[in-house]
This record gives sequence, C-alpha cells and structure tokens, in this order.
Amino acid sequence: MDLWLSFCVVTIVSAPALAVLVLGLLSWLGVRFTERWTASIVGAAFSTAAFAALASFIGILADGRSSVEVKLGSWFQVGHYSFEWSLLADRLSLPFATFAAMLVGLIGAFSRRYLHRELGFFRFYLLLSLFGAGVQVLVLAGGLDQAFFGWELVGLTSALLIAFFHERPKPVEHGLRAFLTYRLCDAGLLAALVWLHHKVGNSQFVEQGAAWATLRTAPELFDTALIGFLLLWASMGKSAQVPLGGWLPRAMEGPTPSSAIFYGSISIHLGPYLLLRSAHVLDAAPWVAAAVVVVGAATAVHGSFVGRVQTDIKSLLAHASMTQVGLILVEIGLGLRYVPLIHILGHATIRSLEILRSPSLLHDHHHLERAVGRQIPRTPFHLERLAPAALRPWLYRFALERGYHDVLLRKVALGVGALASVLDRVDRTVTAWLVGRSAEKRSRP
Amino acid sequence: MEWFDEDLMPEARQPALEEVKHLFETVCERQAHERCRRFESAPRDGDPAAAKRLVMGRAVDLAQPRPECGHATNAYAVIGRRERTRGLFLDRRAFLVSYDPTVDPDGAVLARLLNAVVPVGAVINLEYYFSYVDPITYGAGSKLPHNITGLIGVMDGHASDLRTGLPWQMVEIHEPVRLLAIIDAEPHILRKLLVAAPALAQFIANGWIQVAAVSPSTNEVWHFSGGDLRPYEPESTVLPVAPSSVFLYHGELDHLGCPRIVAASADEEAA
Repeated sequence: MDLWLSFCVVTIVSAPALAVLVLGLLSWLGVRFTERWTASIVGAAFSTAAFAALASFIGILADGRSSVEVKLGSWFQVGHYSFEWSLLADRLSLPFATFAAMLVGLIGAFSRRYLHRELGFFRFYLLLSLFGAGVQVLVLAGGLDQAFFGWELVGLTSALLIAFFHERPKPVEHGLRAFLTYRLCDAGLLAALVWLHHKVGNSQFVEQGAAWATLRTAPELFDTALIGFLLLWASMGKSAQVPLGGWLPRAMEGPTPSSAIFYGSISIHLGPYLLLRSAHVLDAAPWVAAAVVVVGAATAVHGSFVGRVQTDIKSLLAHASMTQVGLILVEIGLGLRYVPLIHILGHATIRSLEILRSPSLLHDHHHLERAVGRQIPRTPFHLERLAPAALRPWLYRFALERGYHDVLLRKVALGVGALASVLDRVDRTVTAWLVGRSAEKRSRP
Repeated sequence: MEWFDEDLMPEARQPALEEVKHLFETVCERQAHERCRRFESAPRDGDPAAAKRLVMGRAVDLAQPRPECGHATNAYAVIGRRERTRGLFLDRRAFLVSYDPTVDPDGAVLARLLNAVVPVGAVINLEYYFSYVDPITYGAGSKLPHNITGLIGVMDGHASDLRTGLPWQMVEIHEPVRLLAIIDAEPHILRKLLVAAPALAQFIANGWIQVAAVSPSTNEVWHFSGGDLRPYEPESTVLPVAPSSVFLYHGELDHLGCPRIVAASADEEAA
C-alpha cells in the first residue's frame, strides 16, 4: 500500500514533468509537433496527474492517515545540512494538486480549439505544462527549499504567457512588470529561507499538531515574526495584494485561457497556499497574523472599490479576483484553516469559468436581455450609497486612479533606483581605489 | 430548423409538409457539409449529417474563435436571372441578387437595385479586403487577447484603442479582391444608369468595385475599365464540368474554380 501510494504521489509531479521534457527536448532537437499531438501529450499528462492525485487522496483516506511523505533522496550535503527532495501529500496539498491537474488538463483541451492555427500554439502548450509541473512541485514540496523551485517556475511561465503576443509592445511591457513584481517579492521568500536555515536549521514542513504539516518556528519570537513577514511579502507579489497588485489587471494580455488559469484560478492563489503552509508561524507570531489580516482587508476593499469603476470585463474580473484573494488572506490571518482552503477552490473554479466566458460577454448580455424582455436593470448601488455624498466623487477618483498605487510604486522604484546608482558609484570608486592600491603593491619591487 | 404553427396545417397536407421538412433538412446538412470543407479542424471524410452536428456545436462553443466563415472568400455578386448561374459551383463566394432584364426594358428596377446592392456588397467586400491586407491597422488583430470594454467593442488585452474591422480569425481564408458585380443587363442601359447615379459611378470609376455587364441579347461580356464599359474577351469559353460538388471539394481546403455541376443540371432536366 505504501509503495502504491508513493507511486501515485510521484506520478502527480512526474507526469507533467515528463510532458515538459518530451515537448521541450524533442522540439529542441527539431521535431515539429502537430497541434493534435501537442494537445494530446499535455492532456494525457495532466489527466494522468489528476487521476494519480485522486488515487492518492482515496489511498490516504482508505489507509486512515493524514499524509504521505515520499523521500526522493538527497541532492547535496553541507556540514549538518542536507538538501532533501521529498513530496508531501496531505489535506492541504492534495486538493490543490488534484484541482490544478484537472484545470490544466481542461484548459489544455479548451485551448486546442481556441489557439487553433495560432503561431505560438506549441509555445503556449509548453509553457502551460511547465506551469502545471511547477505548481505540482510547489504544492507537493516537502520543504520550503523545494517549493521555491516551483514558485519560480510559476512566476517565469506567468510572465512569459503575459508576453505571449510579443509582436506588440504592451504585452511585453506588462509581462516585464509582472516579472519584476514577482522578483521583488521572491526576494522575501529567499530571505525567509536564509533566515530559516540560519535560525531553525531546516525548512522541511513537519507535523506539529496543526491541521497539516507546516514550517517549524524559530526559538525566538522575533525570528519567527521576521520569517512570517518575509513570507507575507513573498505571497503579496504572487497574489497581487495592495500595494503591489497593479500588475494583475495588466496581466490580461495573453490568450484568454492562460489568463483564466493564472489570474483566475491557480497562480493567484499560491500566495494563500504559502501562508497556509506556514500556518504554524502565523499562529506563533500574532503580529504577522494581524498583518495578513490588514493586507487582505486592504486589498479586498481596494479591489472592490476599483473593480466598481472598471469599464472592461477583464480588468473587472482581475479586481474581483483580487478582492476574493484579499478575503481569503483575512480568513487565514484570523486563524481559519479549512475555510480559506474551500474558499480558494470555490473561487478558483468560478473565476476561471468567468474569464473563459468573458469573450462571449456581449452574446451573454443579449441572451439575458432577450430572456428578461427589456434592458437589464442597473444595480441600485447599495454599497456605494453607504459612502457619504461629499466623499463619493473623491472615492470615485480614487478608484479610477486605482488607488494611486502605480504613482506610489513609481516613486519608490525611482528612489530605489537612485539609491542603487549611488551605491553603484561608491562601489566603483572603492573598487578602483582597491585595484589601484593592489596594482601599486604589485608594481613595487 | 424550427417550424412554427404546425398544428394549423390541414391533415391532408401533412405528407407534403413532411416532404418539405425532409428536403430542408437535407439542404441544411449539405450546406453544412460544404461550409465544413473550409474548416481545417473539421474531419475531411465526414458525412453531411455529422457536418451539421459539427457546425451546430461550433456555434455554441466558448473555445471556438471561428464558429463560421461568415462572408470570408466573397469575391463577386451576380445580379441577374438565376438561370444564368444554375448548376454552377459558386463555392459560397457570390452574392446572388435576382433580377430579370426581360421585364425591365428601361432599367428602372435595375437602377433601384444597383443603388441598394452595389454599395452594400462592395463595403462588405472591402471590409474583408482591408482587414486581410493590413490586419493590425484596418483589421482587429488576433481575437485571442480581445477584451470587451463598455459593452460596445473590444480592446487588445488590458488597454488599447477600440479595435475596428474584422479579426484575423475571420479573414484568414479570404482572398483580397475587389467585388466583381456581374450584371445581367445591356451595356447601354447600364451606361445610362451610371450617368443618372453619379455617386455610384464615382464608386465604380475610382476602382472600389469592378463591374461587368452580360448582355441578355448577345451574351457578350462588357467590363468597366478606363472610365467606360468595354467589350471583354474571355480567355476560354469552355466551362469545366464536375459530376457533383462534393466530388469537387472533397478534401480541398483552398479556393476552387466554378465548374458546372452535372448532377444539378441532370436534376433540373429531370424536373
């Protein structure tokens, strides 16, 4: 039974990885895949992964246990530390893994017709399967070190798919913006990892009485809180939280199915996943939990305000996504564990459908109007009327300008840029001085 | 195809209705089959019933950016008696407008017809023409990143100007040619009508549309070029023949000529 379960869990990751290898290596060697073959390989890989995930789920339930850990071996060893590859299938990772595999498979089937005859057809499928494999590596990771690989793969494929139509300047610009935001926040994840290793000595997820295996906490509260804040920072980029969320509506540049799977369903929810995985840290450091609530609530309010004034459907859906992810963060910060998990799966399902339907908006609208027999009545602005009348124009302007976050970010970026150039100059001067001194030394007999 | 008020049909006429229904169904299926030949993703060897199911499925498929070909590939308009085109394989490329020159000696009917039909047909054709020759500027680019804004139009991705024209998916099989209006009328009548309708004449003289007249009395062809209708010498007067349209288009994705279909002519003679 154990061997069988381990096999299933490994298959969830290896089937998508195999698809990436087959597509990537063979096309590198000059093999040209037809549309049918490309879509079939990706479809088969993710169906296999989805069935394997379901089988692991059933296996774990039948076995009456809460998780399965599969040790895949060690990568390297430095002193007392060794980098362990391991997969962890439990109540948190399996719902994510099953859902992601099914959704990537469905999007693969959908895109076969949607991207038919498109020049980048193969590229889309390669990136989609790389993304799918990255998500599985991330959610099934037995430790944060390993999760980092998946985290980076997801970020990279996300940016590349935003820039899918690279013959136009805007998608590339917006892809770059998303990529920069990701990198900025990945620094948080990396710093958290370094600090974890420094203070705890290990980043594996372990069972310690919580709903599922989570990160260990540091002996001192300060370190735990620091790690918690860094993890929150990491998840704020991926999940488009205030004030970093400006990239999300701009990310709606790729083909509709990729927008649906990244920003409607899977990629956007990886931030909450990371926080759920480090639940123990949040429990131990109430200030971090409070910060999670504050960020989530601010994002929910911001997304709701800004979403109200959007005139195009994809920006509207992006802000709706943002609002829900903010609420999920609030739930996590308040100490709930299963509620956010269910919220994530429900929201991801409905939002990806909405984004997939968004190109048919006019058609749906006509259909609805025909059914009602007249123009669809406007909503009576229940929530908007709660704001004092004098404030409404300002709130409207605030929403229209998307909370001035872009201006703020530009100012911060310019400031950081100026600081970086000062440091660069200092660095060059010091280097020149040092080099000059050593040259002087060498020239001396 | 849906039928209304069938219960109002007298009992005695029911068999006739059934026959008509069957006929319409067959026509729908064959029509769908002919449309399917242009879809790269449709099976090459499907039967007409399967083709009809396929096109009905495409119409409601969220993932389908090319539910139908629309007017793509349109190239000419034939304004004349239907006997002149009967039995020809027109490949869905013609606008067919019925007009009988034998009951319109002074061209009064034709004048009204030309003013209505020529601008409409020409503009449809030009929309496809320009969307094809410059899909970025005149067309709407690829449909895939389109984003509906304000319930009035589409943008590319997050923000762009409203995209006008037709998306690439709609025009990719189009052949950018100006509409050729073939009019079943005597050239002197057509000349007279063009003098009376300066807007139309300007449209034609400036080359937005091509016009040809086929004389009902002599069957000679006159083509409008260099400011006037001039006699046109066809390269060949032999019309190719094909046993049936399915035989002609089976397995073909590209444009085809317009041979006479023997099966259709035989049907007509039998009738």
